[in-house]
Amino acid sequence: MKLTECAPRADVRLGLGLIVLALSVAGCQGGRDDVGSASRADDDGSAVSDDGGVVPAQPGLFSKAAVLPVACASEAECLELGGFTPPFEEPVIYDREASDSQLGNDLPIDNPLRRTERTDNCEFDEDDRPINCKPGAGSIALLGDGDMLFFSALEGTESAEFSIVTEGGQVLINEQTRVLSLGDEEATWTLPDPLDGGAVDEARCLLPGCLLNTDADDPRRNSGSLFCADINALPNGMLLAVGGTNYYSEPGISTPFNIGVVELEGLNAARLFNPDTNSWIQLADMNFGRWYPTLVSLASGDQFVASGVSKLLKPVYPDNPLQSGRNVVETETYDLGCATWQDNGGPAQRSLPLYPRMHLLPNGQVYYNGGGQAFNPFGQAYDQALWNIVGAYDPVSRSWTDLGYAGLPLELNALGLDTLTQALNPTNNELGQATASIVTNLLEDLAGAPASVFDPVMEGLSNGVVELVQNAVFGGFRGSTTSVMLPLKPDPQTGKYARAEFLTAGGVLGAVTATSPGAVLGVSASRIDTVTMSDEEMNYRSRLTGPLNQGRWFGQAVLLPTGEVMMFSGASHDEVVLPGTARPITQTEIFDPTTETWRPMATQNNPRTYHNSAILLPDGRVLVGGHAPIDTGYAYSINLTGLGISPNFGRDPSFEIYHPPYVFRARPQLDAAPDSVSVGEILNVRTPDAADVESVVLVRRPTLTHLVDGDQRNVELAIVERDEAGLRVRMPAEQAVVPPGEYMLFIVTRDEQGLVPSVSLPIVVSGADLACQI
Amino acid sequence: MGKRSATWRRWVAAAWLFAGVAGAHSGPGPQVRAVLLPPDPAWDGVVIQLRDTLAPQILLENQSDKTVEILDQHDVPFLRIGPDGVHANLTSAAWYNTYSTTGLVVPEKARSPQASPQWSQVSARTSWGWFDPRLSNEDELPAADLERQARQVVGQWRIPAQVDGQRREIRGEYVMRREEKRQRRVHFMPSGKLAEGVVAQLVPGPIDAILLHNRSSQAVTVLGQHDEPFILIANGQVLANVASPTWREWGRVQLPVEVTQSGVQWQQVAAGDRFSWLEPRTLITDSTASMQHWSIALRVDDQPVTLHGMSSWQSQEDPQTDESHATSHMAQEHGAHHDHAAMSGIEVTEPAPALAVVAYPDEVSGWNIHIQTRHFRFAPEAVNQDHREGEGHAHVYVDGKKWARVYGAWYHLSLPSDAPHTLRVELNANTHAPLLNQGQPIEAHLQLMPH
Repeated sequence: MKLTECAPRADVRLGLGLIVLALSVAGCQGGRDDVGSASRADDDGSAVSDDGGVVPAQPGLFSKAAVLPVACASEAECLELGGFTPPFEEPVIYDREASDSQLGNDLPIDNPLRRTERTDNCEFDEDDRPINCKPGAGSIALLGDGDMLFFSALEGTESAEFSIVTEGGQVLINEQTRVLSLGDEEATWTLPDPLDGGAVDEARCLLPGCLLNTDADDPRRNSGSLFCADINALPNGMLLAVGGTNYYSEPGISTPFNIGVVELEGLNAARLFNPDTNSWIQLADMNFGRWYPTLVSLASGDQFVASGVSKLLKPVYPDNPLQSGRNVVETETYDLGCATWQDNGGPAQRSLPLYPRMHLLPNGQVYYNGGGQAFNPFGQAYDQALWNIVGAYDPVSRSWTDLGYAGLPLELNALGLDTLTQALNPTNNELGQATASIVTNLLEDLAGAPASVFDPVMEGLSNGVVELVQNAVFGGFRGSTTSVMLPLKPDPQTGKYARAEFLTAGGVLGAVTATSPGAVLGVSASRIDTVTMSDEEMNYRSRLTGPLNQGRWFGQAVLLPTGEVMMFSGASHDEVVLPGTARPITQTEIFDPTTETWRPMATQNNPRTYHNSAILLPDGRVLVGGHAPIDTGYAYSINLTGLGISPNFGRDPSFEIYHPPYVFRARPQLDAAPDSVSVGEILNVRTPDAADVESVVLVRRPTLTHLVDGDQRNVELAIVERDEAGLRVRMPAEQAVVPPGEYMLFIVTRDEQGLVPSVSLPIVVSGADLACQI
Repeated sequence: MGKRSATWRRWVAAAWLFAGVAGAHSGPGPQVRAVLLPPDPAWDGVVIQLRDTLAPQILLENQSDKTVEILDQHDVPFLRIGPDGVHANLTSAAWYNTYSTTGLVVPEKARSPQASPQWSQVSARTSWGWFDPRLSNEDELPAADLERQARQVVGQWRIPAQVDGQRREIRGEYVMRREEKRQRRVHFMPSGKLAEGVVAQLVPGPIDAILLHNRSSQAVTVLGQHDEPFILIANGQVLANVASPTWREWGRVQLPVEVTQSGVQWQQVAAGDRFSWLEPRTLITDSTASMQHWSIALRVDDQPVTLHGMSSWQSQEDPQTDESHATSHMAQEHGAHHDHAAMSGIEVTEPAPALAVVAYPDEVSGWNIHIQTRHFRFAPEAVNQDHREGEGHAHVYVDGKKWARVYGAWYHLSLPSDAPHTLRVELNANTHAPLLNQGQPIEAHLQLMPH
């Protein structure tokens, strides 16, 4: 998408400690000629917002806001901690009435205790209920041209009068999508077509005679929301979104007015966003409805999808599994050539948590990292014990291999011993003294032997100790945690990519024996899991790293081109269990892979708890956005920020850009590289800094939702030759290391402060298998 | 008026929900909880369960061809669960009140018990779960008098029903909610090695799983609930007998089954030499029991081997018992509580002594007990003398009776090994007074199993 240069006339206002930007008119010549202009749009297609007015939504309309420079207290602080730009947001509220039925709550009664927070983010009706709001970036993907597609989460929650549980079926609405373009000093929001991703009415009659209809209410409003879809980029740069939400009320009794408990049905829908036409189309449906699924690109470019749930509120009868609910265990694969979904069959089934943390291993198998979202207190499944088991799916044999209990076997390096010793400190309330002493003895024994490994299935260890260490290392299933695949590196001897490492930090522990699958408090625990691969087998090991500086639920990790990991946003405890009671975390942290420790970095402007997002930009900065909480206590929007807790009175449509310290230092210059490469190729990289280059890194363009990016990967390329004009680097020989699609190419050098990446160049890895395999 | 009342009810409902969610993991809760009594045989074909989800909930599954009606407090039917699905009486307030933990708004026409019934189908399934208010008892109870009772039954509840017009009841009791914060714990019991290279790990969950690793060259077969072949791990492959009833009910993947005469039909279900499966045999099936032993039969090549284990309910507020659990092969007997208050002991200072006890079955007879201590020295030379910090001896109690005084880390317990025993080991000062850490005796409990 190319935007004509135009000079913004920004009107910057300061208020309530927040920097609110509003653009009165985007005075711009030329603009987009491929979109129609609406009645209230200027000739150039830009939206006009006069004094916070509301503009009818039309595809192709766009609006602009200024992006102010990064703000640090001092230059030294920028160099030390990095810094954030002030928040900026879409200046215009779009009226969706043109394409949707009337939005908002039609309850004929008022809640005398509801105090609506009038913000600039929404348009309000005469009853002070928000009806049209700006979308926040709950899900976001970096497109090939550097623009971002994003969509909101939980749109409409702010309209609940008494309880989102009983009114959700009415007030929750289809998410809006946007394309965001970042210029040097301004940001542009463009409306795709259709705005809601093409919500298809999937209303179903659940009973003969349609006695119970999943969509007794208006189908146009909330039948096919993109909320809870996962997004992935196809090799051709189009975005695939699978699943989504149909909100409805159970039991769906419509008199005296529509009541019931809100239920969320996972959609079968698959949709495709085409950046060239700025539009959404529908693909063939998946075989199974999925809410909170995870997509992973296979080596062929085909799309593997697992988990999700068809119906969120499901019964669990431990004595009667056949009557109980669980997540969708069937996996399926979208064949690019046939454009169809295929059920992978029996041995490809696996019980997984929602949004399972999965990654493509260099051997072509899909790795499940023992993490996901438990969705307390309703997300339980009778077979959730199996979520503790790390495994890998082989697309060739279409079957899973169990690799171990997450976090074990444990390599006891110095950090691990230190962490364990602290965890087992006798003053720790969770553990008794005798227990601690036994494990301390064990650790002393193990520490005596270098590179020792604690394997729970070692014979001769008592179960009590096994269980204890399982807990002490925070092993097993982890909820709402990060799962970052650390940079894949070629073996110096063989050149093969035979090892993958995964960083899991924060989240909530799986209190696996409880009815509900997770604990509430965000933990600081951090570990690295390693999978080594040979032709015959895979080997799984885990080690502890230094912990986060504070416990963090729903922290958003971003792997930088340097191999460091930044952590943004999140909250002190699970905002799904107790919405609106957690303390938001705005202090960011960075993980240093050489010391394997975390240290605090700059503080972000806005609190962003549930449905936050952060992605790496092509220039090495990080776009931080999102925040779409559940109504306080599952009731209605209440502003309790005065108590220092999460702002759950609406969604945050703003973004802020994090500038890592390297942005303020001299950066290597990357002049040229091929537009497209294939596996095994030697690649010419032109740079005047060739002599100083430490690594050349391919970074897959991020496609993020709910902390999940199944395709997230940085791949270091072997440098085979260098001269003053540049470098020659070798692409991996295996497609599974670099699944086909759009990447960013960075070169990284080192100065006194550490590693510094260049600005990236776009590069496409070819090799998609487009033959229809029938 | 009606509208105003509906408003407030809804608001109350929302507030309740908030409180309910907030209180899910904390707070004392009601003093008692409901338990289900074994149903009358007349309930043939009807499975009734009591589950504690967001609140106590009755789950009824009707596998018979009869229709079950559930009656409200006025004996008016509000639910029908039958072969043609679940129907609700939309003019019964009970339907709205039991639908969720917070209830729904009760329409005007459903406020009179005399309203003529209006049935509407609400589910195509033959099962329904409802939050019956009769499962809750908010009365203040004289807890002190009840503490000593073994079962602590403090009342009864009944939910009237009809099966094809015949009067029936779902019955249960209220018991003290002493186990409010209890947790089910599962352990293997040592019975020698499984086999060289064959190791198992318990994976806790609402239903536990077992992760079995076969690093040997032998074929390991797990037998199912009916001693039928269930899972086979051999040669880097995992096969399931998909015709096995255990697999058909609990198997983690479902595959099509052809009926064979032998009842055995192996199909590959995973790759590799490790496999995890859901293991319902570790569940405690008797709702009144505090512990349950279980065993899972394996064959290593043709050699029978058994995985023994025990599941028990354990209070999460009792770290002392937790310690003995974590450091022993065997779970302690739950509920063997001592009258700590009556004990005159010696409070220890930091660093506090601690102990852990492991019992190893002796191949000839009895058990070898290993008493591991920390910040504590066995001082046989000083017995009967004055108390000194960090030293003393241990007292061993078997089946509740004083058994022996022990001066060292190892002790052979000479007891018939064909019967279970309870074991308690306590650290004592030279004066024989029990050592106390913050008022609690420093002791470990074990349940010794026959071997």
